[in-house]
Amino acid sequence: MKGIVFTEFLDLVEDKFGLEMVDKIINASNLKSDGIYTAVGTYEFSEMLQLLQHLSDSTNISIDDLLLVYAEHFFSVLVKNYPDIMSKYNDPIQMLSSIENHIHVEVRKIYPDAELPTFEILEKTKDSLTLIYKSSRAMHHFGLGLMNKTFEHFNSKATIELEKLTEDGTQVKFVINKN
Amino acid sequence: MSQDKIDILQRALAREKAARKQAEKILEDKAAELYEAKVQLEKSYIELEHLLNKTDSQLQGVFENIVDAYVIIDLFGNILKMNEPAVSLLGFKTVKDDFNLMNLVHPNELNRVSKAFKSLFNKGSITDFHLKIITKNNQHKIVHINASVIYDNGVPVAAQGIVRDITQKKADEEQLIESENRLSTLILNLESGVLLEDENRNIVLTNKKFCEFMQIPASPEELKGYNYSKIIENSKHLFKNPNNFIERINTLIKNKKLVLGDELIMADGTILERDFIPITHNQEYKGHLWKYSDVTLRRRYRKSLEMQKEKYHNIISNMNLGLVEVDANDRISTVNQSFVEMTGYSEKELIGSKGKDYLPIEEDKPLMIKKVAERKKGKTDTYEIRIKKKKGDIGYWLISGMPNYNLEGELIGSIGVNFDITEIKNLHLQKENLLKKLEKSNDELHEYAHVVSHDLKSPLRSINALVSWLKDDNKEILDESSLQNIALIESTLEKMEQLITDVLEYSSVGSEDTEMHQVDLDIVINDLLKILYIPEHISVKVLNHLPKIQGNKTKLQQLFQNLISNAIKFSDKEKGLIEINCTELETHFQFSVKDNGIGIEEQFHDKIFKIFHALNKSKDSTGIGLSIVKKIVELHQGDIWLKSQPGKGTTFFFTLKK
Repeated sequence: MKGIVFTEFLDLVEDKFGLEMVDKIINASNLKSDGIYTAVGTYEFSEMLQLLQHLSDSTNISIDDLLLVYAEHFFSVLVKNYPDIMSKYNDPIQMLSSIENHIHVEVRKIYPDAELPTFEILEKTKDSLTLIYKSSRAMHHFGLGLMNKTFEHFNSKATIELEKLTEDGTQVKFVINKN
Repeated sequence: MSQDKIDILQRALAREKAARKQAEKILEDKAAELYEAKVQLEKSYIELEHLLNKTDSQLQGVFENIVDAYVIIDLFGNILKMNEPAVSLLGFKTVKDDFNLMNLVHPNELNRVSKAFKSLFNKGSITDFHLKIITKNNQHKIVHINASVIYDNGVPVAAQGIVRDITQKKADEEQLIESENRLSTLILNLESGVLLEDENRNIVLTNKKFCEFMQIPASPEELKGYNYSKIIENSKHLFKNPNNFIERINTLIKNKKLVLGDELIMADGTILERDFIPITHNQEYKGHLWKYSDVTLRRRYRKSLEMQKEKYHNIISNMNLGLVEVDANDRISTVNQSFVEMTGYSEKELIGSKGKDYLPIEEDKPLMIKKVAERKKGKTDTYEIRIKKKKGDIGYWLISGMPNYNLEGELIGSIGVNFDITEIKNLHLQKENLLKKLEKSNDELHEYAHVVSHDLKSPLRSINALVSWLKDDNKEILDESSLQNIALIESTLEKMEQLITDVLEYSSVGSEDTEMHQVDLDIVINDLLKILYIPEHISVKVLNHLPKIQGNKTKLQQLFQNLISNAIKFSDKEKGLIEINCTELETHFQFSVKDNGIGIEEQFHDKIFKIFHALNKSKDSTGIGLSIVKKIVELHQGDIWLKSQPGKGTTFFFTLKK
């Protein structure tokens, strides 16, 4: 997992819960990296799971909710770092339906070893989109957060329903309807 | 600040430092990697540049050394670049010549070229384009063009092409087609029937004569591609033995071996000769060629030639002429049976020997040697020679010799045809002897007749004198009947003397004075009429002027005298009339002596000319007169005949040579 996901996550934890919480979850976790992350490095995903688990334990907030918040934060990082990609779109539905064919293609150019989820489009209209999310990471709420922010970015609103197709959340159906 | 807080901050700071170092290391590594990549890139770039230069100069070399003409033009046809072959092909002076290619195009081709140009720019290339051009130095050529467009950043900027001169190739192709046409016309009209089948017996090629032989009601062109094994069934009845015909063909095809000169007899008697020629290519069977020729005439000709040869051979073997052939060295090479018989030598003895050395008798050898020498100069002639046979007897031969030439006209000896004339020669000698004998006995006969008639006459005269004396002395004693008998003796004696005179005369006609002179018959008749006793009641008329002829005057006078005397003698009318006439024929004169006397019955017309055949037993008729007439006419190469009606008269006709 790319280092920027860790650094941005720890920055958000420090911002919301203080440096003590950062110190606490790092110390509580058994991390190969000893909690030392740089945006240009690459680290194991299990470290993120441990960090999320300990944060959830410490704050009594569910991992899904944590990921949702984190995703909303992470969206602004993306907008800041990759304005070119954003500027290519003027419609949230358009942009979301292009994740697989455009955005992830661009991501692979920069990070050839990135481990990316897949988004399969089941149905698409002008104002609606049905997707199936597939990833061994089961970070569907991270996706949901990014989607919410996407609509927000284009000054638009949508109702996004989430249906787990598997118990562990590795396959999830997203039904998006623009308001 | 609590110790806790300080610890947390220290830990956070330591993490931050470590993270920075980690990031720096990553960046350092990345920078090193980048540098490495850059060095590698520069190296590759230099290599590529080298490669490019190399390829460039290679291309330049190819461009300059390419055998085919290579031309680069701009989009309007102006020449940008060309190589030496292009200069010579298109008739320029140097590669620098500035020219628009379109000006070389043959006027008739402009339309095609403009279409081809469009196609070139649409598709990017054009291949196998054939074009007539007129080169800069005014030569007409046919060229073959492969061209492609040169792009710069996807924009067409020029075109390049390879131009080949195929004028000669075209001409060759046309010549090939022409000679193929000639060949196929030749095959089509060949005097032999030709059939080419492929390995599956499908017809590849055939001709008119074949269709004619097999009586196939289709043209050779129509037969192409048909399977001949099916068509053949319709033709087999044309052959004397249809099944053999089919079987033989199947056998030949099965064996796939060359067979020449098969003889086929057709139902109508025509004889065909057939050749079977299998065709293989790279040891693979490709089909076969049948050739049928009508050899009927040739066969018949050969047969008749053989018969002729046989015939003449038989004639030569069996003829009575001895045939001998000698070589250039005068040695006998051939003789026939007659020659063997004529010489008495066996064929074995004759062949290889020099006949001229031992066949002629000693005296005739020089003649033979002379003739043999003449033969070598090409002379042909006939001569007589005496030959000594094996047993030693002499034979007379008539030899016809001629030089003998071979087909090239070179003298290879001579041929002699020998005729044994020994018998003829002997006959000839006999005849000569006989003639001599005859002459002698003729002379003796004449003398004898003379002597006899003369000797017979004197006793007759004595008897006549004695009888006359006897009568005169006993005139008074003799009675009437005795006197009558004496008168009879006298008249008989008279007749006897006349007979002897006539015989003497007859015998002298063929012998005495037969010299021929110009005789005027007018004079002869006039003289004759003066001396002849002509009674009062008979008149003699000469109706025509009589001609002069070549003859014996005395005998001609005798001829007319005998005929006129006869006419007078046998006149029984109150007024006797005798007419003499003459007409001129081509080689002869024809005379006639006509009377109105007693006439002669037709049955005696031939007899009267024979000696001693007197029709009337009168005292002055001996039966010799007309024999003499006939003899004289024949002496003058004429003929005598008569027309007569008993009681009315007779006309004698005779001809005398002019």
